[in-house]
Amino acid sequence: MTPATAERETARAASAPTPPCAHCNLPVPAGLFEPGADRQFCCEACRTVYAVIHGCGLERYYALRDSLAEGSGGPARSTGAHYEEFDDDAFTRAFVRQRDARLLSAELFLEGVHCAACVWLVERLPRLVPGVAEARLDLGRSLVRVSWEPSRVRLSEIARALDRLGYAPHPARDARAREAARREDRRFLVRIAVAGAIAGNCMLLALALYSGMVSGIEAEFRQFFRWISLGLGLLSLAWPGRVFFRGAIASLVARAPRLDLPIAIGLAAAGIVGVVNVLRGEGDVYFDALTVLVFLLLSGRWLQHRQQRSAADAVELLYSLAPAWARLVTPDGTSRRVGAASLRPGDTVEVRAEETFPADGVVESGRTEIDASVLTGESRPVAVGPGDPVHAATTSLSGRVLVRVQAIGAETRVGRLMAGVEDAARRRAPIVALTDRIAGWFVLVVTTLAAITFALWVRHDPAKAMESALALLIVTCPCALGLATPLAITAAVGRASRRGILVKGGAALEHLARPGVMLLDKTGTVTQGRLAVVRWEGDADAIPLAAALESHSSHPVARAIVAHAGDADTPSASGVSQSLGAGVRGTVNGRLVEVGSVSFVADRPAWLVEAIARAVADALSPVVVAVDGRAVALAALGDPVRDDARASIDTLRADGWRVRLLSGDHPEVVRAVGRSLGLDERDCVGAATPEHKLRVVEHELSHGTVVVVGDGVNDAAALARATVGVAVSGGAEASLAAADAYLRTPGLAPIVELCRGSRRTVGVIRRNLGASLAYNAVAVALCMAGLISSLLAAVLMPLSSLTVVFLSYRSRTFGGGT
Amino acid sequence: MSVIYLVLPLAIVLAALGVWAFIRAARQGQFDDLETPAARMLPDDDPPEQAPRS
Amino acid sequence: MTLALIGAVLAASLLGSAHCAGMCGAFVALAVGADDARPVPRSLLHAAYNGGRLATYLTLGALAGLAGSALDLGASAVGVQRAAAALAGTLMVAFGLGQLLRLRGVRLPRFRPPAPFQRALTAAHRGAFALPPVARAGAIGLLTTLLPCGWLYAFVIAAAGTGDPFLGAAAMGAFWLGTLPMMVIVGVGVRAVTGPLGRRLPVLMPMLLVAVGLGSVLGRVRLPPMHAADANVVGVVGAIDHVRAADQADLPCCAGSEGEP
Repeated sequence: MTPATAERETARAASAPTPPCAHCNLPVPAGLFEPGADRQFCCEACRTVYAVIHGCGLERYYALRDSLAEGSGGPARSTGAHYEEFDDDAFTRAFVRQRDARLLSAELFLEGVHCAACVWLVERLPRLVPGVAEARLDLGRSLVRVSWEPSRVRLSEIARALDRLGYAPHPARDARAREAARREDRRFLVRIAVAGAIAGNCMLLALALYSGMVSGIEAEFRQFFRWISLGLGLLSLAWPGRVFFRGAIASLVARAPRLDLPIAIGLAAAGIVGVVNVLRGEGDVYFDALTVLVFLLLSGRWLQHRQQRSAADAVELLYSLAPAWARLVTPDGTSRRVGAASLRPGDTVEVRAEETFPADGVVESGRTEIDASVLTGESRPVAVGPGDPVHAATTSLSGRVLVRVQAIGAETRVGRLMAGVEDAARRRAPIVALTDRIAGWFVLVVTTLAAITFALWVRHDPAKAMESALALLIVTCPCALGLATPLAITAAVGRASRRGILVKGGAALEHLARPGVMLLDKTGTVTQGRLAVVRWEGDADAIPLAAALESHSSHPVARAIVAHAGDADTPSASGVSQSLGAGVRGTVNGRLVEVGSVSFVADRPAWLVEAIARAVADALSPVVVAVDGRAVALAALGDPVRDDARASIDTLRADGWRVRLLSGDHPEVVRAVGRSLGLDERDCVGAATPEHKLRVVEHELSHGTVVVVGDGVNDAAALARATVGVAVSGGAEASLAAADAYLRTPGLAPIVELCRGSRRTVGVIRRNLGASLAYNAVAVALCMAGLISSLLAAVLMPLSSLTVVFLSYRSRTFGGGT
Repeated sequence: MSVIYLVLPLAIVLAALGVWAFIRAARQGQFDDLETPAARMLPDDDPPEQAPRS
Repeated sequence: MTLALIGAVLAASLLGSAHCAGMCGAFVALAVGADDARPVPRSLLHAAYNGGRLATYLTLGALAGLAGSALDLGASAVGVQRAAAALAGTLMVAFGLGQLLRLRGVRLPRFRPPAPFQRALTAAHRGAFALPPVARAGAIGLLTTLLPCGWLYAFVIAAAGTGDPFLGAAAMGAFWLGTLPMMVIVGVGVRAVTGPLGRRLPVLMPMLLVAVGLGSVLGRVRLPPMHAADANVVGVVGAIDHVRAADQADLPCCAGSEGEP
């Protein structure tokens, strides 16, 4: 190798991008590049660490790191939908806005957005799709705002591009409500900023005044500082502090003592004393303490507000995931996708297997079985044919049908149910939060005590009487109520959301802390919500044969049997014929196999009759398997109870809850499930319609707290009416809208965690209140005795707030074991 | 010491300017989303070819 | 002077700590990783891990400073002043330049830790991973110093250059402080953190080393010529007196900086 070629080699090595270090991913210096080596390292330390990590069997770290950095939990999943309905007139009217003369814009919720890489990918949309002007992603809300030129690109193309990237888009409802919330947030922030700036400046002035007291200050400057404090303090009360006065007035008008009232009284008292003392030129001014208090109280409220909103946002995302489209059959016989909102009664829509009915109607042609569990709670499929009514939100399972639309939107059965939900929510007794209940007493006691103080002192020393009474009002400002309680709830709600439990408000936590009646929906809550083979009696060798036959069908029974066979090699079946609602017949390995209902198979030996009787007694659906005309096995199908159900229900009962099952399913099925969970027969209510469920809830409400846990539309009204409604994972959108809490992980264990976490949270709040009460009792006693100087009052007020804030943040509520 | 009569109002005017700037920023929506911009700056405009996952 | 050096160490380690994120991110992740069975506050785990690191860094810095002071003492006996600082600075500059040359593709001889060392390190880590969460985090932190990291040892050399155990420990303390932010946020996702800086990092780090090294050499060497001349005259006999005198001359500066950290 000549020097010249060596130099070229060197140059090439330097310019060509070397692969990253196998350990730390930084570029490998060209001088350390090892040609031919599997892994390159940037330094010896990385080589050593790589060896150590592998030596400890922790290679998983690299995969984890890459998934963290890339943010893709798995391969990008694309639904492959066409999104034609996004170009609909009805859709455009509902979701698309004119941004300026040239551009349209819309907000879309995206599935699967979670990290920096997603931001980068989604915001590259203008480069990927010509005609898109801008795409801005809001990571926290999974919401993208796209602007595009309608002459160059259509929204459906943009939606398809997003879908290809693995982010299935959904139209975001309530753009106006979101804009209003955004404006409200901004106003909140502005108030906090103003309050903070004023508090900071007032503290500086107060520092000068206090040090002046110690080291001497000319009266002229002292009075100047006091006047400026006065100006700033009044500004703080008039601008950011106005919310408390407005709230106080509202609570007076409504004759419902709310927390704003004592706060407003305290603030007003401090303000008045300050003004009087500045005018008199003696005594203390409280503007430092007062402005800091306004700032702290506003901050506490902001935290709480934001936390509740983020839970609402998360629920909103789930809420918008329901299909909002339909296949409209045009006069020429073809079908195209349109928005469900643009359907009219009299239209004909096509609904294929596994699709959800977009409207109420009557089947015109075709046969299928429908899963109506979302409406009725009934877990077994129902067969329908021409002339039978079908309802929106139910799912077609096996066949393709044409449906003549009779009712859409609010007119459908599910729409009427939703109206019922709203009605129930309106009629629900407003939850009076613990703090608001205490606030009333607080005001009463404090003002009474102030009056007593005044009365006691007025005969001896009128000036001191006024001062002591006012000092009492100031010192007893309810910081623990106004600041610590929101903080404790906020911290708990935040911790809960990290554990997959979304709580919409603090009041729900307070109610879940005290045991009462818990009504559990059966389908999907206690059970897994899908059909499965619970028992297989007879010849186990028949399992692959039955599975081979059933793999040709997508019927729930078929899927359950295929799932039961597992990964075992299934032979292939030929000549498969289905008779709807009865069974399947075909040839597997040269033998005639039949799988179907009891009447489908003619052969009925004695053992089979017994097995059928056992299955029926346990409320399971029997399916007979026959080979060459001889019955060989019986599969007993049912909706299996979740693994954690028994343990969770036992824990709940041990904690003092009365657990009841409330389901729309057959009473015998409900009782069978209840038996397996150790519940009394009286506590297992079956065949409950949504209206019936509502009545049960109202009946129980007269005895105390009622918690309803459910997932379907049929539970929605009950959820809304209950003291606290809890929607479980995979639930229908209506139940999400109606519920106070949403459990992201399936199963009953999160309910136990929710209840226990709530109890701990309320414990923290009680502790805060206790601490604050003790502080107030001491302070009140000292004030009444005339011992508290106004300076001490000004120092004590923020100090007590900080103590309770510390107490509430230190506490562990959710996720801290049991 | 009487310079305080000039300096103190000046300080307050400066603080007011800061608050005004914040309010402007807030009204423009710069604080609407505090999470995404932090993630937005991370990737380069043209990232190098991703290394194959090991 | 020393204060400036410590400041330089702090700045350099702060800027270059993205390397640490890439290197030790694995250990941070394992040290503070969530253990669902027994939840421990993350902050406690971070404290344990970084506390472990600090303990060994300080020890190492003090030892290096001691070695440097011994070198100074021996060298002044033969009439060379501030040998440790000059040597340390030169080594750092050489190390930095070497790295830059490697980036240009020049192949230089390299040090590779012996295989038994690597096996011992693996065994130690395996032992550490088996400990309960807080002890585990602390143990991993203690072991971190043993990793043959050129970046870390460049700063150990800088610590030796101070020629004083306390200042050496202070220099390593500054290094620890500079790497702390990155080590704490590294849990967020290693590549996300190193991303924007990553491509320039291999150039940035050696340059920082060269800068600190030059500072160490020039800053320390400027004073000595006078003393060195004296030493030549006085010779070996007066060396001890001379060291004492030099210490006296240096007092205001050293005393000031010893008080600082």
